[in-house]
Amino acid sequence: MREQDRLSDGPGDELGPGERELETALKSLSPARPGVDAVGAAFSAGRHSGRREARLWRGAAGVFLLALAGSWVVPARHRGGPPVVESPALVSVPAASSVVRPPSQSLIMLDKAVRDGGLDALPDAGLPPAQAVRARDRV
Amino acid sequence: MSEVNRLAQLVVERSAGMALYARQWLDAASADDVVQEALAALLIQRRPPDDPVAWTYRAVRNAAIDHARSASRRRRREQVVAGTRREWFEQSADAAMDARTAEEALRRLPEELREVVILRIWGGLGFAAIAAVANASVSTVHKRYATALRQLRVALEKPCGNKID
Repeated sequence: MREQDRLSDGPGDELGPGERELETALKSLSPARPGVDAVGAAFSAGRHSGRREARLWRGAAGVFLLALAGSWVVPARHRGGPPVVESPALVSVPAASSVVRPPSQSLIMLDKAVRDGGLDALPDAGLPPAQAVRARDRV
Repeated sequence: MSEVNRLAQLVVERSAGMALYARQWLDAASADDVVQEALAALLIQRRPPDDPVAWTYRAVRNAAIDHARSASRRRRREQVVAGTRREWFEQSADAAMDARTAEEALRRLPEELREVVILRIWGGLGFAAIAAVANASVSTVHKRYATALRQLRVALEKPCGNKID
């Protein structure tokens, strides 16, 4: 049908009988057979198509590598992300019960006792009782 | 049959007409190369053209003209032509006219007339397709075809050696 359509159109009224006869005679000639290799053409097409796909993959890999390199090189703050909030440093405070109190006779505690309650607040010295010294005990 | 096989089959069946078309600009070996390249180009199309035959003729035309313009290829072509000569048509007893006489008459036609005759008679293309391949309007192609046949008839009725105007 398509072949019919192809050949049916034409300048029918412009051709005389002599031209029609010549047209028929020319159609009886066969063009020389070419050395076209359909398999070679298909192979060439396949190779070209393969090269195109390889180029596509190479391009994609290149873009990926560039993106990866960029993520390493560009610092986080230059990437336009949300600002980083720095948290305050925590200091551990020991519980009150675990504080070692200095001895009651230490200078700090005696000073504190005098400031708080005067001389009367001074704790007992805890000294041993004084012994009577007799003359004969003298050498 | 796959789409690629169908396209390849379609073009290979018409490759003789395509090679003859390319012979207007090239020697036989280069014409074959150009047809094969055009077939390969057709096969790598992601979407097959609406008219694969006309598309391939167009590809053959563009490639043949490019080849012919290349100086180095021209030199090589001249060497090849000097060494080997292949006729445009098969010599056959069944043919209604002498193949060599027809070739000589066609060679003397102006290029724009000759290509219309080849596309029409041995390419089997319609005038709309020929117009698309040859970059001309359909009415121009009609006129060229009629003019070409008239000039060919006159030339074939005359003794050999007369140049067609």
